[in-house]
Amino acid sequence: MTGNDSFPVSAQWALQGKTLGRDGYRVLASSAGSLSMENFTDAIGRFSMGTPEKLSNALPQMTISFLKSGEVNHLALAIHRLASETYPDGQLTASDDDGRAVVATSYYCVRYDPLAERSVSYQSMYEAFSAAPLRPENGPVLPVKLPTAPTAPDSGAINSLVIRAAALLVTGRPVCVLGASLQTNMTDRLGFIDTVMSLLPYGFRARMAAATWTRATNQNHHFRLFFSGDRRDVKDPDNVVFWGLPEQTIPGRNDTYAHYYFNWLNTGSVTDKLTLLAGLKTPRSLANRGQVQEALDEIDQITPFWPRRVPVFQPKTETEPARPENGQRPTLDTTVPAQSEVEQLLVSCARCMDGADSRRFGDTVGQLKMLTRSGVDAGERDRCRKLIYECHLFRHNDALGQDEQELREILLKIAFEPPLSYEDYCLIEDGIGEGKSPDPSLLQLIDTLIDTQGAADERVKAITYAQFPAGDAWKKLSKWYESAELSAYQLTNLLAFEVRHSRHMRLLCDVTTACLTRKTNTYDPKKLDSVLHRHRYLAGKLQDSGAGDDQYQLDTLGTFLRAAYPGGLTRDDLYHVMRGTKPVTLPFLGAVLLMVAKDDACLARDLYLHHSFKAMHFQEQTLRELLKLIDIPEGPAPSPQVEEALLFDRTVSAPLSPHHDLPGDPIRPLTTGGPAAPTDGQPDGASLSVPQDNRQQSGPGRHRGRRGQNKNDGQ
Amino acid sequence: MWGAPGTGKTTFLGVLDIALNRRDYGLTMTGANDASVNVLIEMTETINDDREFPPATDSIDTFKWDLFTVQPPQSSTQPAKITLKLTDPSGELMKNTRRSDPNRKKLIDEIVDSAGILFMFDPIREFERGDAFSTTNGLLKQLMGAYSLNGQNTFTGRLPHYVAVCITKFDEPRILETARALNILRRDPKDPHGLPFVHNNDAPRLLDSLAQVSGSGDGGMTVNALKTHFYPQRVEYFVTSAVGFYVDPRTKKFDIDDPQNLVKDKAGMANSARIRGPVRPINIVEPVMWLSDCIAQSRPQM
Repeated sequence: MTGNDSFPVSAQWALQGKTLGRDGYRVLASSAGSLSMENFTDAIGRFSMGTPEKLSNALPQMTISFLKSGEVNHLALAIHRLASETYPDGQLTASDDDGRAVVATSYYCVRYDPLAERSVSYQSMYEAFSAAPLRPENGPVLPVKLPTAPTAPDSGAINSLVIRAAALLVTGRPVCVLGASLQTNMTDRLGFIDTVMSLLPYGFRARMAAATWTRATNQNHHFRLFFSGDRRDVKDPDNVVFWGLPEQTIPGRNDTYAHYYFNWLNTGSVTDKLTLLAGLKTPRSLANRGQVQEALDEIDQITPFWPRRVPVFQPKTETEPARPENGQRPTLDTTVPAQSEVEQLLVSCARCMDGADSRRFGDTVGQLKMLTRSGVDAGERDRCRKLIYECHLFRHNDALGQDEQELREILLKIAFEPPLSYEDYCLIEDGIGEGKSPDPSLLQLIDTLIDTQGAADERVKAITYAQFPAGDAWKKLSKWYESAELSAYQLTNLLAFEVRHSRHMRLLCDVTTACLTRKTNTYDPKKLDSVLHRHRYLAGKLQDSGAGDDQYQLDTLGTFLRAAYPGGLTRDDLYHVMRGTKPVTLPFLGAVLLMVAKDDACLARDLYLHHSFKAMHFQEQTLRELLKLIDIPEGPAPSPQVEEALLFDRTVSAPLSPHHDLPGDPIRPLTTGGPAAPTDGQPDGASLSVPQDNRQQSGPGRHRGRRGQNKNDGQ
Repeated sequence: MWGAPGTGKTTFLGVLDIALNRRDYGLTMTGANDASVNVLIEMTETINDDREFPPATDSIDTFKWDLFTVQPPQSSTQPAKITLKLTDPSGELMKNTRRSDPNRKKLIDEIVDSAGILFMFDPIREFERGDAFSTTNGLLKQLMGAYSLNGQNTFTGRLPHYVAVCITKFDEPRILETARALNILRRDPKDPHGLPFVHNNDAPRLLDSLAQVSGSGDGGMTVNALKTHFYPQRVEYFVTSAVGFYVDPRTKKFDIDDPQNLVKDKAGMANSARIRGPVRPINIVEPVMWLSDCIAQSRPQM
């Protein structure tokens, strides 16, 4: 190396070996630098490669480690050779008292910062240190020259095994390479380690320990990437990759980061990634999950991980990434599968749920979590919604444990654009399947989502809160009710909306009746009556919705009437409610009868018959004869309010958006002559106007837009 | 395994399988995992075929070996399996200079978790260097500290382990001579080779005698430290040799005037020590089985 292509560093060093006399291995000589002999003894012992095996190529070997002196990080490299080969001149004892070959360990360490600045590889360090053999006597620090330009790994060396090993390292568990014993030499293995590390942020080298060989019985070693003849028999097993057999690499449970990183490495240009990773120099440890996460976040900020439409890390099916051609670095697999990776994982989740395979389910959810960190695009969101529906991804299974909760959180994040609409809520229930209600944990998740991101539709809140256990449900409803976001009129108005399930109608009724009976001082009965009147006193709605049996309908309608007429129904009121109800159902008649004076009961029955006949499709002559037979006295003239309601009745099929039918935000009738004038004197929440099919609206902004659109349509 | 560097810890383990095959103990042996199987094969081959000592342990090796009691055909008793989890530390870890080494701490954890200790006392090393006490005492203090900390008020001041004290290198002429001088050498009349041995009852006498000639003068303290730090009834003494005595291939007999199975060439040169003839381990299986039996008996029966 010339002066231009190299830079000098000072290497502190130590030589470990044996002398005769049964003193055992010890540091025989070291440099006169900042590190003492005790420091070296500790550093060499801490990263021991273990007892050498009896193989022809058992030595030399190399161990890579680090040490921190004060605040200064050092990278260290130890070369282990037979003393007889390293010192044929006999400077170092070749055999101990028992005739055992002595292993000489040459240990070198240099400051991390200058190496990081130039992204110096382990191979370059090895070459430089090999040129500076150590003598068994104390001496000064060694001046060593290292290459200025980083040595990029050979493009052919970046193969699937290397990528898998790099991906597995980010799990925090050590990676053991098996099967390389007879096929490789020390420099091959060092090259592998270097290439793997080049696929990780350079800063991880500051806390990296690796070995070109270590014995499996040396169970307590601290290497994160190492070659060995066998697996270690340890409580938390190592990740294992098999030399030359990348497809046999099986990621373990919760190897989320591995899948995530593997996919990222497999996407796009490797050259760009090498440059990027070499530039990330903050010292970090692969053993520290928080620091790994920091590094991934740092990468994500520079080159977002999304979109990643590449095959997921599936060891049994994945093929070797395409080898580079014409000297180009591999861009790896560009195949776009029919289903996106997220979809594949969702399908896989469903299969695991079918088979109650909690282990695989956990892995899959872990992968999904990492893949969806940045969310999904609109197209994928729609496909995810479809899969939720088809695969019942919100179904509950006790066997799936905490991973089920994680999946649900992911689904709520990726498939539902906030705020949560009623249609969204229905999809969640569809995702449970079998017409079931959300289980408590799912309900809690929905509640949290509503709390944090709001609901586009008050029905969602009402239905969700109503499903909590009685005490909690009332607390939530009460809080919501008292928050001034909601009024009795709004709640009543909600009942007029179409709902997908009779269960929902029942819940909405329960919520409304609870508020009407418990919060009597929060509404004006007259205004409430106005709302009820507009919705035909909800008699037909309750009957059609199947929310409850006859008794339930009678009780509920009776509650509404008592709220609107706390003093009971006078004769005029009777005319008013009977005229305003269509159809007049028998439960409604029952509710009315229970509220009228005894003398008015016959009138109530006659009014019922009168309106019922009118609702029938009899011939006009027949109807006239029938009505004559009933012969009810003429009542008071219908109020303008009633007239207005009747007008609407002829023109609308559904009420307004449940979100905006607020007393403070009156919605006025659509007119053909331009914006409607304010309707002074109309009760809050009773100023109803009805855009057609506004059930599709799911958010405040969109609702307003839709209103404007309708208005324009009307014009 | 407990012992200073070069006391023969790894060699002791390396000849275990050879010892089982030299005599009918009614036991067979294998590794409980791939690494342990491989190391068993390798060590046996190194010692038996190559007649070399296994390499010095670096750091801590952990072996898991299964011993099976071999039942005669048609035996009605169930065969038993004993799994030995053996921790073989580097002798350097015993040195007090390594007391802060994470591997030393790991070793202490391993000993705390174990029920038995194979303690290697090398009389030759003790004679030449006399460091048995210093390498033992520091570790004992750390162990006691660990127990005191964990056991709080229940720790009585003695360690609960069963300890098989192995007085190693019985094949060394100076040890043999000491035993002969103490008149504790015995021979098994059924042994065709007429190999000498020291009965376990006599082993403490030999140990005391050898401790008196410690290079540092501290040998006696080592013996006393073992007696006081462990329950005396849980300590047993064995006089052992991994490679055994030399047997003249022509006469097939042991010759007290030519006993040594280890030959030394010029000091300092490669291969300065070699195993001379077939390895005939002495008292290698016995300490292991003694520990195994004691531990089995001390555990509550299911």
